[in-house]
Amino acid sequence: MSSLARRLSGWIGALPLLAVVALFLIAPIGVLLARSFLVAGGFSLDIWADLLASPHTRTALLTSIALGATCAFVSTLIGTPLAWLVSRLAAGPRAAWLGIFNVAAHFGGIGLAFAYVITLGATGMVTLAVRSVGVGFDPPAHDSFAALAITYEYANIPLFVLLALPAMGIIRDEWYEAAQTASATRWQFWRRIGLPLLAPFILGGALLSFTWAIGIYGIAYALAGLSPTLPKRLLTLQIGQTIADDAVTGSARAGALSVVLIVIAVVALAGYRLLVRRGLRWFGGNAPAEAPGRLAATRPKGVPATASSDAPIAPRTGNWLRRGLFGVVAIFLGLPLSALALYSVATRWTDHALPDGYTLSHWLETFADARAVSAILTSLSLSTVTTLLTLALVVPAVYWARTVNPRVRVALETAAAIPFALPFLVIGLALLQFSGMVTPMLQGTYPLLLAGYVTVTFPFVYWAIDGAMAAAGVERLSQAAEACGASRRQAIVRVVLPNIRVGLASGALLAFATVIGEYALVSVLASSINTIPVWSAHLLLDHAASPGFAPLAVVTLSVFGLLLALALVVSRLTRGQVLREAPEALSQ
Amino acid sequence: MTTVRRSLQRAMFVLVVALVGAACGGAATIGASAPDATAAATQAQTFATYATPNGWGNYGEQFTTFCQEKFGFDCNRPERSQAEDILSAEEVQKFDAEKNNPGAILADVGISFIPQAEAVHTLADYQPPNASLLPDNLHGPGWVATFVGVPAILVNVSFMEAHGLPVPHSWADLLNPAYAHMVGLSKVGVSGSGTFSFVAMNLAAGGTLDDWAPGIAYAKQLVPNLTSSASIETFEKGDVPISVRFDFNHGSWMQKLTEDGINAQIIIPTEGSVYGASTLMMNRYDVAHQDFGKMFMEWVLTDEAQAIFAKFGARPIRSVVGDDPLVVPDEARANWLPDADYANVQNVDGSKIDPSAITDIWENQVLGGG
Repeated sequence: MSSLARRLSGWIGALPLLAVVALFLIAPIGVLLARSFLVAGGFSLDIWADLLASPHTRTALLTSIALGATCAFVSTLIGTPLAWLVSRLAAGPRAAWLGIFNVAAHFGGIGLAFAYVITLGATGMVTLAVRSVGVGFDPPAHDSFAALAITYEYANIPLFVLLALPAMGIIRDEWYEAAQTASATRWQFWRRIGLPLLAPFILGGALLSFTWAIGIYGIAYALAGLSPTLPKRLLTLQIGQTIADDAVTGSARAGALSVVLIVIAVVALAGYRLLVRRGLRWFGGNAPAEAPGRLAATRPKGVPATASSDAPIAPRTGNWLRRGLFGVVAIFLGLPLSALALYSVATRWTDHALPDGYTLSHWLETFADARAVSAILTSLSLSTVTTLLTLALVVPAVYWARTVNPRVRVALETAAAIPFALPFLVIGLALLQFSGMVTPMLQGTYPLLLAGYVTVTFPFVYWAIDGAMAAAGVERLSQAAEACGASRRQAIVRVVLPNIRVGLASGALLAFATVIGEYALVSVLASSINTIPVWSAHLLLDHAASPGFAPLAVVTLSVFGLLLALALVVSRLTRGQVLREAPEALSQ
Repeated sequence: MTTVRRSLQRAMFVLVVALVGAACGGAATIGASAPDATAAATQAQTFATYATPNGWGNYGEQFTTFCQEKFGFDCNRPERSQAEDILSAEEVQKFDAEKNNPGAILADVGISFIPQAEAVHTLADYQPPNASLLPDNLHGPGWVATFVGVPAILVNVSFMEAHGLPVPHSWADLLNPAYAHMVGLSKVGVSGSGTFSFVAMNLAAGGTLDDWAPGIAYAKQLVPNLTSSASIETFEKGDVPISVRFDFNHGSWMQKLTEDGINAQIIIPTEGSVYGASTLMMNRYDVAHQDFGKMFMEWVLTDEAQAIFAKFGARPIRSVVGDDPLVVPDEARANWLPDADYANVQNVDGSKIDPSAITDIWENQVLGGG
């Protein structure tokens, strides 16, 4: 018993988190996998045979892959130079850009789809503006491949930048100077030295962009999910529809389709790890890449920024290129916001470039409308509670991993990769089926949704806090505290927490932003809970009862504004620092 | 380490057994016996319903009127209306999944989903005595048809005139190549109006519920003209100037369209259309509210309740079936189109329309293999 107690004490801080993850993530995914092989109680490949024989599954699979590849390609092409330029910005502007990218990367789902419709839709702002100068212009239909790709990129490019940013730190300015001394041109430097070094990280980022794009549900559903002609079949849409038109066997078939997504995600993640490891080989192979660095940009870094990161290589000769790229990106990110802003104050908007007239009444009416207000309050409370709960679970777990038992770390790293790689839609479906088996009374309830959100947001919080604890040197801090006679609780509350404020803030922001715009999980798990995305989808898609789009513009813009404000605050706190996973080992 | 693992395993095992035990405890179900009015009055203070917002089918007024008359108070609390936006298939899944902790006694559901509810045994055994006023295929244990929608065409006449386009009057007119990407339709299979529109097209083209070939041939020609269903905004602006939906959906738009100066017209296609029934189904497992549920099931088929449905703009079920249909009072018919328009509208057996089979036909045979 004493040995049990001793062993338990090595895990106790991480147990609550691991228990939540085991119950609400690992067990459901396991059951989902198992059930796709079970028909009427026996092992069978029937579901699989049916699925694979269906031309729709094949079309959906191919279209999803094509869309993912397109998005990954464009994100890489634009995101790589962008990440490089951002990594060489001064701290102030870098903090601002990081804040904006963080919000754009999480501003997905229904709100983004709506922004596409009013920006580049058949009567969107840009469409009308182009037409008003007499140019015939037919934008891609909102349910077309091009529209989906454009909308996905709004989140995907920023995500790629956030992911690639840490790797940019491995290029040292001295190398460029050395190459110059050897009379190499800039082009030669990049071709022979820069890009080969960065290639594994860039490819890794491209792979993750691909995986995210394939797993997207909310945007796809809002743009193409209810189209009667179904021009684009996607795996995620097939899953959603299978649940929607068949209450009897739909969830088993949807489960099998999800397994296809799981396989893609696992392969991509394995490929990513392999690539990053290869990349790190150049640097002696220590510091194996840990968590994929989706959030890396807001993680405080382990080592002080090298002086060179504020004395850029590029700008002197590449000014026009740099300005051009930043300008294009700013327009791309800004246009939908202007459309939202104008729509929210337009009396009517018929066929001119600008609204016919202006009014503030939509703002007043929206914030007086019971359903809109209830959606806002529900989402705010859900995001806040999820964030606090996740922080409360993750902080002790990481503390244990770092100071008590390194094995905890292995468990956490593995667990964190799952929600990172798997589409939320799949996680939602798994949780739906699993809760149906063991706790049906929880189905459709706030606690179950909350549990789902904790499991999908914990990796973000985990990486942020892990980075912060590494930076703060928690091991030494806790030893010092205990040497002074502090209890473990005192050490955490009085010493550790104040030193990881930046990590807490970044992690909290990401968890909050993820939950407030999330549609896939809530639509599968608890569509009767009126969150902002559920309310938005209703307004955007259930046209029979829709009072028009103005309230949607008001709320979408408000959410964006709130997230941006939070992101800028956090970004200023972290002073635009970038955690560099690779160089952490290098620079020592 | 092994000790920990073993004791953890044991703990998990106990937990899972406990949960499974709770789940399989055999929930009590609602039988066919007559309701008790005293118990119902108490239950009226706590019951909830799914997919029945105040504005849909006038359910708000239904509950208010019913409780005022039977119990002397208004039972339409805000919490009464739950899960307002969920899909029909989800309602069935919820009833089934929540059997140990039912969230609602009643739900409004498309008639095509009744067979799915029967397949997973979520319907109560009770049916009200006045259900016999309806033909056999419009009621059954735990469900009754309530009102009908007729797939109809709403046309933005202002837009048509401005662009020199003719106003369509029939399903055949919709095939006009000039209407490319102008005809809004909901997703066939998932949405009731999309599904019944396809049924109506099939019958108009000469098909039956067993022979879809004519409808498939027609719809293949229609596909180039189709786009996602109209919202009032896209309809007004002319993005989607032709909207195919249930007549009562369009009726609820007319006031705003008139206010905005849009000349719009609701057209029942000249070849005819079909009555697509909405139903009220009773959750087998919500035993705690069974008396209230049973009394309300009976209520929705009364003359008074049927008139309340009519005020919403939908034709109540009893006005469109049988040899001696219910005559709806004039004041409740204010929002209706002339009866003559409905001469070619027919009843179909909605429970024979399997949503996933329709999805399959639409996707495989109309849209083609890819």
